[in-house]
Amino acid sequence: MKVDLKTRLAVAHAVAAAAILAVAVAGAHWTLRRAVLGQVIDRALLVLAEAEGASLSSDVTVPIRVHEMNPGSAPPSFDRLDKFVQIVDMSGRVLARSSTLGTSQLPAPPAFLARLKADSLVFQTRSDFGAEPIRIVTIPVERAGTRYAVQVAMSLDDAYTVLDSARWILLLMSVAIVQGVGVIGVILARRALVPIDRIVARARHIGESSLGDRLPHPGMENEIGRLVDTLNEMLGRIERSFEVQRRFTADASHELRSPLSRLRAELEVTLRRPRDRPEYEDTLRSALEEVEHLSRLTEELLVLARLDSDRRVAAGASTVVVGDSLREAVARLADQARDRAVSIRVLPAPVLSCGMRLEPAAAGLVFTNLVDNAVKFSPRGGVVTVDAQESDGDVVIAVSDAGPGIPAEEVPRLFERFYRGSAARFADGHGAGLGLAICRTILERHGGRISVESEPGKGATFRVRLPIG
Amino acid sequence: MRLLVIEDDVKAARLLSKGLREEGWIVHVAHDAAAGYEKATVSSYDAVILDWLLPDREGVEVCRDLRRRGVHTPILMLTARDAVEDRVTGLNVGADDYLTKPFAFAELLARIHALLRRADITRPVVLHVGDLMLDPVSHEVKRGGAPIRLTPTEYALMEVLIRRAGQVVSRADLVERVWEIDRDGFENLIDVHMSHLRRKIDGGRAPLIHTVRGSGFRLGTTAEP
Repeated sequence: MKVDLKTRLAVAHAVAAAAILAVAVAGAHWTLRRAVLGQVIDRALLVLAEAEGASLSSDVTVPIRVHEMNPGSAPPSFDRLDKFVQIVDMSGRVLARSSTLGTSQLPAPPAFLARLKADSLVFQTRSDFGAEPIRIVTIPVERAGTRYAVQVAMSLDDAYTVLDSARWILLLMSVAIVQGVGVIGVILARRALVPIDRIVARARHIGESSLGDRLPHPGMENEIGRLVDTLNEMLGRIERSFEVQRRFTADASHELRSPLSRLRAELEVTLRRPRDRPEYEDTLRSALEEVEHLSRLTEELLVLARLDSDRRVAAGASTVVVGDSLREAVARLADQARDRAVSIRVLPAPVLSCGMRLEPAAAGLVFTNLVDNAVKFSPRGGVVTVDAQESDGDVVIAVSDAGPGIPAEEVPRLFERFYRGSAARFADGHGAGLGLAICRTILERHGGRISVESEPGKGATFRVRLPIG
Repeated sequence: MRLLVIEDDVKAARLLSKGLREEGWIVHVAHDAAAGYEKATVSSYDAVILDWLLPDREGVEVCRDLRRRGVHTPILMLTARDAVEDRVTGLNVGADDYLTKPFAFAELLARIHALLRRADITRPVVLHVGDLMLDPVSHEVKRGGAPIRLTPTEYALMEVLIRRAGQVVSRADLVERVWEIDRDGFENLIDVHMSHLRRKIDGGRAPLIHTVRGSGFRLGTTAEP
């Protein structure tokens, strides 16, 4: 059974109120009982018993008697009102009785009296005396060497009635309070939590197609308001990253479809009519170009997909010697450089023998890409310089070319996925604009950075910064 | 017939043009939105093949602008974008058809034929005038059931005339739609080809090709319009 927060809060409030009230009521009742029975009843009995005991004349000639009032002879006697007084000797013989006792005697068995110690008094509650339960106090007194006992008793009926009434009043009051607290608790809980229901209803509908939606703000700057603000910010972040992802997928699909489309058109058109052999060879060569383009694109997309999905930093990183990695990249491009009469120079530097933490394959990708670009954009006979420096515990590798340079407005977008820029048209035109994006992703994964410096007409320098280790 | 291809991918444009030219059509190419728009407004084409992603502006914008400008040439949009919203947008701004890449060349051809049919209200697939039949897909031409062999140029002339059957087609229009050359002064060339065509089509039968003095030619069953 699902119990919601509102109900739980209301029930908890009611239960807490009930518990507190139970304790309070019990305490109140107990205190009242003590006051009524202890103070009111027992003390009154004791006072009267002691007064009677004290007024026992030490003169043995004066008969033992209970003090009674003659009608109309003195101010009203509140002490003796509705009390029974009795004086007995140690064998239980009644020596004096108050008129209120009538023909009865207060119980005073000899065995009981025998146990009476000097200076000790005994209170008893007895319900066998008459129509009403009574409270008796028995105190020992001595007159001229003889021991007697003074007993005073009064009915507990009224006291019990008072206590009963009190108990009912407290009980009813408690029930009313608990109910009141419960109802108020439910109302308050509901008012506080209704915004949450609204938020939940809206949140249920926000999905991939409605990421622009936001959760409704309750209007107050309280905990719920802050929660809604934070969640809405989170939705904003999710929406943006979905957008980035969607754009990447759209771009990637376009980039994949274009060479496929060309390939298909080429083959279909050629097959529509009989052609001569040179034309078939041309077509096949052209088709192969597209296949190469597609292969390269597929590889780059897979690299990116792998980097994107495995966000663990530098999963397969090991220490790669800077100089080795650079020289390998340069060697890979030796043929291409020679074809274009471009020379590549790796400047000597002490930091070349240091290590950096990179996955070896990733290192190859990054540097090959940068040197490849530099060679592609260099003029014939130009020089590409690779310069490694140490700076603040990092190694900074600068790859520079003397090519056409990059216009200022393109620089910020250079490392975006699929961004090609205007200069790409002058190069072989088969890149998909992923090379630099891959470099950046790889470097950031390994705690490094890539940046570019360029002025149109003055070539470009790409700088890679990685921690030495 | 004369087509305009607006596509920034140079190689793709080249392949498309090659295939379309082999169908006997004249194909002009533009590699960006500005050039494409200019060509489409300045010259008349029978259909425009328009790519969505162009370097300077989106193909959709070009389509919208052409329609606003009053250019009613049928437009077929080509693109790698295949989301439904994109198709809807393309058609809503005035494109007549939409093909996603990669496409089968045969399908492109079929759709272009369909676009060309729309010039005629009745939109027949195979064109008839009197007992003359021309099938644009197979390039067959028959008169009275008997097949007639035409050279590619003659066929191209025939296609223009029969698609505008009943209307006067100027020499300039014919030149534009049959030859790569745009200049004047080739009326002579037309007359030579037209006389060959006449001999093949009309020779010994009721004449269908009529010369309209000072205006051009007309294909129809009667001499008067």
